[in-house]
Amino acid sequence: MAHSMPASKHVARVRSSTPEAIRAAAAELDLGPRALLTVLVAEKGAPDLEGIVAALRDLDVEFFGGLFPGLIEGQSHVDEGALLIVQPSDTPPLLITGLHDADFEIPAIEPLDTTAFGTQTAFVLVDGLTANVSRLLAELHGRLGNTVHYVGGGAGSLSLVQRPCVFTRNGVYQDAAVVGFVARQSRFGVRHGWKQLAGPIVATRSHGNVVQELNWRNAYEVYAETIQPYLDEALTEDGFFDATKGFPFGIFKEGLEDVVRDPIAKGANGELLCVGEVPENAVLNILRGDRTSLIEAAALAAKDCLVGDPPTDPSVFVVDCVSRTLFLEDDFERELAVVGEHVAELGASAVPLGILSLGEISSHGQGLVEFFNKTIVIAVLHG
Amino acid sequence: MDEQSRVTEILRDLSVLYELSLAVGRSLELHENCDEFLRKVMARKSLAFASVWVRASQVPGAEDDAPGYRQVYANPAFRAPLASIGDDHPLVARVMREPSFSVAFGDAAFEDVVTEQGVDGGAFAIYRLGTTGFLKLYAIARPTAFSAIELSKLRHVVDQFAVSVDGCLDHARVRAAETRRRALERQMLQAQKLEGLGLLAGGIAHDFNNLLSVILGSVELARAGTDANGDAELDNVEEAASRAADLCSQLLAYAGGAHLATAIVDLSEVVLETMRLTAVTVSKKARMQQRLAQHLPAIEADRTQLLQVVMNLVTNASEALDEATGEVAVATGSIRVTARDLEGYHLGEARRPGEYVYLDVIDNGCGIDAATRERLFDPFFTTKFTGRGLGLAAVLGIVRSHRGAIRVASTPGQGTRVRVLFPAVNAEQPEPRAPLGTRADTARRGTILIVDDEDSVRRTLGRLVEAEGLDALVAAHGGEAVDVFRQRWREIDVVLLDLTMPVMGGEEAFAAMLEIDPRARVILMSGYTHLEGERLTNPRPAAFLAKPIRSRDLFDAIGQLLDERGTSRAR
Repeated sequence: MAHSMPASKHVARVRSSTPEAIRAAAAELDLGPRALLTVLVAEKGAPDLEGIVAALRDLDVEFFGGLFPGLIEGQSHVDEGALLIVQPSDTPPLLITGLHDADFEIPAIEPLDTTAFGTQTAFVLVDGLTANVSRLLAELHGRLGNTVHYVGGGAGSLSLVQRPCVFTRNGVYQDAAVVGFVARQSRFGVRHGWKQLAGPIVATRSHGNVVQELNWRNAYEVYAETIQPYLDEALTEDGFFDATKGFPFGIFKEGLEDVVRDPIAKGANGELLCVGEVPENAVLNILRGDRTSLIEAAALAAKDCLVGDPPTDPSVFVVDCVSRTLFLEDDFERELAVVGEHVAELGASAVPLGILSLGEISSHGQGLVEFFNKTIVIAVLHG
Repeated sequence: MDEQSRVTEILRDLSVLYELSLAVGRSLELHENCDEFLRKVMARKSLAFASVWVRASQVPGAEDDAPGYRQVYANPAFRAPLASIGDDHPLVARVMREPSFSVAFGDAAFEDVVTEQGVDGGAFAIYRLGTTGFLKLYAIARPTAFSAIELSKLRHVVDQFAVSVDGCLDHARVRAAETRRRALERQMLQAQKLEGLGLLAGGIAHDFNNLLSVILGSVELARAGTDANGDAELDNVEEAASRAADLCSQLLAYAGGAHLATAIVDLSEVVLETMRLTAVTVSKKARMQQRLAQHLPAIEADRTQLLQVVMNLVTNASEALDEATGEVAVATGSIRVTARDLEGYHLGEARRPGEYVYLDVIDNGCGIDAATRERLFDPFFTTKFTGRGLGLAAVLGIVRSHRGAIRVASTPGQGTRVRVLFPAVNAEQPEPRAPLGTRADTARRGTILIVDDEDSVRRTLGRLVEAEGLDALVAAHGGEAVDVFRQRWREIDVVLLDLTMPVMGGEEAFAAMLEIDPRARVILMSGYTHLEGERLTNPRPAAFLAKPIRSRDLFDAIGQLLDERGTSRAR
């Protein structure tokens, strides 16, 4: 059974994530000749992604999607079911595989028509637990630059166990990314609300998403020394994830908020495993946040999207880091409420829909495309 | 800003500069070097675009006096399709005036610096890169120009980057020079090949023209009837034609394509025979010495060609003695040769180490300088005032076709030593090839079908055949021959069939004739080599004759077939 929210032939919220339910809901949508169907599936209940792809393949529509820890629906979030969004597109989704290999290749991309639709929007869904995400984004930017605005996030399971999690009509993939090109313009708000606690610190030795040394010393020792005074209990290996979720790294970026990197585990030799790459010799800060600063940041991100002339036919897409739900706990609904209150001024159609992700993607609408952690990205699509 | 904040900011700036400086010079490849550095700059400084321009004259592969500047790196590349600007571009003038500057959208000079697409806002920071070019950085969302302090913060690391760009360009120039040098070498080799080919063609033309002059002159004299019998002119024609045939034989030897009538041969015996033959032709000043090994391992060789090799080397050695009295020594022996020993030899097909039989021809004459040694085996190359020919080129061809090797060692003023190696074989003497036939009976009767696309060849062979009392039929190509054969095969005793002809070649015609009469007696002819005819094993012709054909060989072959005809008819 499909319930649309809001009542629209372009969006469907499906309570069940069975292939049959998703196909039935998709069939009721307005799948015109330019339709691109985005299929966002929540991870609870171990959905059969292969079955979903097979079921949707019967429909005469291009589609792409991914599996996520949760979905955003208005001012609440859910961890089961699926969200179907139909948007106009003139370019088939792009599939990039083999991201675990540093020599991965991006297929040829046709130049996008910017004359008819202005700057288009690229929805980038990537396996959040793969390597080389930053390089992927740099390569995409090198090919397309700012002819598109980028929004998206890391797919996968909150268990942090990697599995095939992004898909197109050709199949379901691990270590891959799918990019849907939507012929609509967009505005962005990108904020996280984490503040500098200590720094600058130089990541004097790192490889990919593993930080081995900070300031020429063992990474864990430096990190532990810095955050220990702010912890109620001694930092231990077992309690590492819970204790450190409030103390991420920030990669310095002049004039903007730091790009957050979440240390999620400690290695046997004191190296720190992060979500996302930390370039060697990058200048880092250790950040700290509280519930208030994070929710205020979400409100600011929403406000950033409202700057400028009133958009025509707006819709709102939110990519919020799943770690913010863990940090904010019950207050996470407050964050969504704040966002909903601000974007409500865009009209009834601007109900926030989106994903809880393992890493967030945005170009700030302007400079290089970045892979963030612990951040909220709000996109207002219009035109 | 309080003191603590100021210290933190300086620390952060220093840390960023540390990161950026470590990203400089990571590669000698220009694009990679730029990419490593500028991606970092863009990430840390929140930039949307960066590009590097260098003087066109310094771009690898460009002309030394190429004007203007070329963009050698852009990120993202799509934004900057404009690849070059002239020296008169206002951006160049500004870069020449100021080592670094910034302009923002709305400034009067903003349009002067825009070389990219889709720029309708933001600000540029532009740095001169030493004397090489300049760097453009662009922040799309920035409403104001970069301040002097912001520009200064990057100045030193950009200077460092400029040095690395120079290094990359130098590296590329060195590589380009190396590539050019190799290309020149290839061109020179090609030119030498063409020169050699020209020498070969010129030499052949020269020698053949001389011989043709003799033939044509003699024919005219014979027609004019100055000699009652015309015998002297005919002798001249025969001699000239014979020399032409020799020249062709040498050419084939040079090409390594001459027919090898191989047999098991004792090299020392061949040398002895040659020494007897050359006794009258070598210079009287030469004291000949022989050091010939007995019981040499056998070699598989064409005796006639071996004679040619020995004769050529001995003649050359005696001529090297010039006006002085000197010594020519000829030695044979066997030797086990390693791969290292084979270095410095001109090699045949087999380059394997192993047991070889050698021939040494040593003189203490004038010697050969290095430049001459380089060209010693070029066809028609000679240092003598008189005499042109294939000499050593033919020797090399023969040695190669025998899977042998040859080396020339020489010191000007002291003498020369030529060593030829032939692979030793351990084989029993093969059965000698049975002769095709003997001209025992000239009073035979029969009809010969002569097939050749050359009218003169048909005419000559026809007259020869008729002079022997035989009947001749002619055809100009395979198709015509098959038609004639189909109509008159019962009366045709022997077919003389050329291999290479238009319309239908000899091979196809031969097969067609066998379909008409499976016992057709066909002699194949060719102006190329025996090998061409001998590759035809199924069906195999009755005989093969290589042009030019001597009448004795022709009638030996025809005679044998006519005899066989008689035998088979008798049955």
